[in-house]
Amino acid sequence: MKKIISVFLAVILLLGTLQTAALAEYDKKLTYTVFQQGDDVPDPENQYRNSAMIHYWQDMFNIELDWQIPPQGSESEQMNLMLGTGDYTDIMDMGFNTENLGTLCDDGTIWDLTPYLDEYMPNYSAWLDANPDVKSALFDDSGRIYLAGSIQEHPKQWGGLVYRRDILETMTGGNVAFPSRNAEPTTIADWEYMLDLMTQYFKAAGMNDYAGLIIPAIGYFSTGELISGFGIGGADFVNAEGQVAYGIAEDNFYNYLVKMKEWYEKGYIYGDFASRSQDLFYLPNTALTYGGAAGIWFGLVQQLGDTMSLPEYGLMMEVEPLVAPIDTDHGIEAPAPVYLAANRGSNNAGWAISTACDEEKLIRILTAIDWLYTAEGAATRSMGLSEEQGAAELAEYTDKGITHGARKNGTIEWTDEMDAAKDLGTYEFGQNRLPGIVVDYKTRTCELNEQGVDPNVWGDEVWTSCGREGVFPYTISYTAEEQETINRINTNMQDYAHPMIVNFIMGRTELTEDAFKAYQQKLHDLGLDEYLSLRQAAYDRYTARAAD
Amino acid sequence: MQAKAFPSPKKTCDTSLRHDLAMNKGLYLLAIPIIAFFLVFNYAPMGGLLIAFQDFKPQRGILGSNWVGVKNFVDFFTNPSFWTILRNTLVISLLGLVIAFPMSIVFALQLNEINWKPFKKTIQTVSYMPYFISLVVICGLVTEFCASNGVVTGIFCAITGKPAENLLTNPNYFWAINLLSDLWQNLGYSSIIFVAAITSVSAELHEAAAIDGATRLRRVWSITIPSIMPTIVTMLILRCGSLLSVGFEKILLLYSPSTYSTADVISTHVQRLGIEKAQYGYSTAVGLFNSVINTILLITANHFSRKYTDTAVLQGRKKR
Amino acid sequence: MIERTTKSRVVFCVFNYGLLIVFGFLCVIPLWHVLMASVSDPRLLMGSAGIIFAPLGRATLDGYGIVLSNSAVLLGYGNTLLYVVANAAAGTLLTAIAGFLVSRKNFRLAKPLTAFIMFTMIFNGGLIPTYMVIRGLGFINTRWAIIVPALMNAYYVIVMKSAFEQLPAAYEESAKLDGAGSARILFQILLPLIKPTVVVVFMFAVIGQWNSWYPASIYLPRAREKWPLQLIMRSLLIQNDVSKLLTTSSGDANHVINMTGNLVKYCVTVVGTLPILIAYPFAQRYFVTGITLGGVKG
Repeated sequence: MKKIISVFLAVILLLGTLQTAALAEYDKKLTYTVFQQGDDVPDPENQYRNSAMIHYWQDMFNIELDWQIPPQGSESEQMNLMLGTGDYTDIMDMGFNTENLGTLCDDGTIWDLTPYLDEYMPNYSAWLDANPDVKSALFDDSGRIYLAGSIQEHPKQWGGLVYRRDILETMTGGNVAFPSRNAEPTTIADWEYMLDLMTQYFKAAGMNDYAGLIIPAIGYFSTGELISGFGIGGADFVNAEGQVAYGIAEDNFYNYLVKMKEWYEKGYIYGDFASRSQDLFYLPNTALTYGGAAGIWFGLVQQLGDTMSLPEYGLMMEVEPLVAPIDTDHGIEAPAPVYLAANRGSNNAGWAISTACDEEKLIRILTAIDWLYTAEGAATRSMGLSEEQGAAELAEYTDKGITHGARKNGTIEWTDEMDAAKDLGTYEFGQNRLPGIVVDYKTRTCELNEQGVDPNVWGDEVWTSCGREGVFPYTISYTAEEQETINRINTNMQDYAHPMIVNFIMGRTELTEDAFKAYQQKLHDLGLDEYLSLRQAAYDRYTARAAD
Repeated sequence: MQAKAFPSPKKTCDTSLRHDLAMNKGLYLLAIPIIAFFLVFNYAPMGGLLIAFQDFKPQRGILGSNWVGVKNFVDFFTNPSFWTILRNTLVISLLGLVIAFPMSIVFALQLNEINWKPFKKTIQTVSYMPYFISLVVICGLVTEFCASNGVVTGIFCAITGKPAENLLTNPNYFWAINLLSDLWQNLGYSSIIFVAAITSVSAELHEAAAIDGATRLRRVWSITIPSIMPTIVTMLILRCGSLLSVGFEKILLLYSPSTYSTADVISTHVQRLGIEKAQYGYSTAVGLFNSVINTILLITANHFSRKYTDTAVLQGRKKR
Repeated sequence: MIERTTKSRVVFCVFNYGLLIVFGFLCVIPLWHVLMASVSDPRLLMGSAGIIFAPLGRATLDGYGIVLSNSAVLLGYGNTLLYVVANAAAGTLLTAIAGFLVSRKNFRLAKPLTAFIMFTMIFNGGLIPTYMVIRGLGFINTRWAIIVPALMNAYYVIVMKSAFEQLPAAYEESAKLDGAGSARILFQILLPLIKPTVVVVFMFAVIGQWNSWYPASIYLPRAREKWPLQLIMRSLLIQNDVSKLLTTSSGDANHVINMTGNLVKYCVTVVGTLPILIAYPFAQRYFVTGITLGGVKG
């Protein structure tokens, strides 16, 4: 019975979409140029041009998209060129925009979507109303919205602190006993126990280049990992009193520095950490991590479990996610949230419509985009065409290897056929880069690792266990002037603070309370108070908006 | 110097423009495409320098952006790290000028002393190879060599008796590391022009000198070097004209907060502040400051060179 | 040439050869490292530090497979070849004319022209105004945008100038007496005399154009089929950058793919530079022939 109903529903759904496509109001074909960031595929332009899903979507609204994919690495330059020379495309992916959207709109570059939202984008509008966090990120202080956002329904952390569990097991013969008596390392004492075992292990293995803990070249994770255990939530965070704070100017940061200095002297911290500035902090020295000579580092979801092992060379690694150590000596009870455990929508992920479009073109494309916020549209966008949707073209497209196809009608479930099609090297509709809702991957039956755990879920659960309250939202909106002042002060403060932090940890500058006070004073002299008041004001506006 | 044997022709005729035009009709015709080229591709865009005096917003264009006078320059000069980055830029540049530049001449001369052709060719061919390898790879190797257990660190510590440390995180060594790695990557390539100049030197002069009993070294000193002197001086002057333009890519790959005090240069500063955060006006102002200083240095170098060596880039040879 | 073998000469030779051998060895290291890394096992490559002297693990050509199977790469080779030939040939010609003009002693325009050209070496208008000029000429998305603006630059003009100035004036004088025009003096008499410099300028133009990707990334936004090799290589490199894992935040990226990405980095370097490395020795030959040309009695 259930089956019959679902088939019936699917047929209705299908008829509905067919009818939409045949509507007479779309009798004139409209063509749009699109500036779109390329995906990580060999031929991104053709990926968009040949996507079965995009063809289906275009036909539905009788539109045609003409893609302009900038060379990888030159995206922001081309974006600025377009804006600077007036050679806009009709549709612009704002992923690399560095300008204030409100200013762009005031200058007549992009359309303000607010007046069109309710009438032409009912689904988008309804979705935003149901998700105030995204809404407050996409609307700015003037109450306008400029983007058809690309929104992850349930974003996952892609990385965080990880540690080599196998080392602890080996060194203790399987009886890992953390001083806190927890199963996982939680306090500073636990970490010291762990780092000591790791150091012994590397020394016993005769490695001359090893790292217990790898920290970034600036001496701390600006996104909050590690320092969150000392009660600091990253470079910018919101403290318990609701005040915006600058992490490295906080009093607690002294405790962090003292501990890091101690660990550095004991050889727990990677001796050459300060020189690795060209390693992005989230991928430190792969020679150490993949070479099996690192204990704790900022790892990626893909590294969890035993995927980094080299069985044929006798290198077995068991990598597990980790939370920052809690500084119980100074009264900290739980780690502060980290920066990455953050927002779903952002004011630079999505499409803006430029004024190269007249109102007729604007309305048509908004209507088309709106479909990507419906349940069916989102499923199609995220996982490709279902059997009926692509019936006519499916065989041809799957033969060419340009769609997963084979999605069950009316479902958003990932199937084996889709996985098989994925091996052809194809991807869904623009992954996270096109507007619409990116459907949660949790619902798909994904590959589990040997522990029977989905690393995406596993990592995410651990890394965000500190909660999401108190994270300073990176999607917050500023005026152009505020932005400029904030950037200037921040650069000056960092230019002063980062060398100091590294010197404190390495013992090149003596770390005393007085020295730290002088350091804090210098940050104030460089404009910390003005910086914080601007951030605070923007944050207050943001929270007020979210409360509406 | 062989060229001295031919004094420039005395200008007997009156040099009025019309006369010159009649005399050098062919030259004027040839000059037309040259002038047109530089006018179109180099001078026409120079209006863009105006944005140094603006709070430039790309979407408003040069005409629509707000004028802010010399604010961008004041911001730069009053930046807390202005003097540090200016000093670092000059030192890194001057080290290149005083050490790397003569080295490329010495390298060309060394090559010239090799009689065994296959060896000469091989060395010449391999010497420019590092130039083609991407900076990322080269700097990656430098980072490994200078790590606390790296090859270079090992040799350095054995010689100086200092305890092993990561050389790249010590601000005292940054200039040396930058210079040496620069030599490694560019010595061969930058000597190409001198190798070519040396091959133009008259073999007969050498033979005559050899018959007269001049030693090898003496011949290098009094025949080869004077003959390539115009090339050397020209290159030197050109380098003086780019003294403040230290490329940022390499420094960006090698520096870290612990070495900002000696490694941060104007271009990396601009890169951190300007481009990443779209401050066009500011970065153009810094660029313009660079250009003005470079012009002054170039003219000065040209002046001294004309006074002491007979060669100049701007005015041609000194008249006798 | 007559050589006397003295003691000091021997010492000098040993020293000279020794130094050059050491330096030559140092220069081969990076290329060798890249070559060996490009055929290494990608997973082992991730875990290795320092110079790679021999392939890590079982040698593999997978990385080259990925690079060369990209249809754009062959197209890119063709485009680059076209740009290199057109640009170096026309560019060297124009540069020679410019250098000739600014080195004329009895030409009133010579000095102002030198300053006019040198000025462009120091001041430039920046990205957006330059783009507007190129667009004004209708060059956007055409091959002209790559070839024409790069034809001449002040640096090479000055190099040419200094070469012309080294020539004895007698050649020109006598040619003038024979009634030769400016063009004939330049092309038939003077240019052959400074062949080594012409070769150097030509070679610099070839190398410059070979390595160039930036203008194409700016001026050919909608003409992928005209992209030079280096731009395609750069895209491949960045696309395969391990750090790109960050942006594929769906967490979907297969780590195996990214391992090979690390390998691709090295293969791209080899594919992108080997042809020019091989071509260079042919240019070198002309330096040697230059020797006989300078031999003019004073």
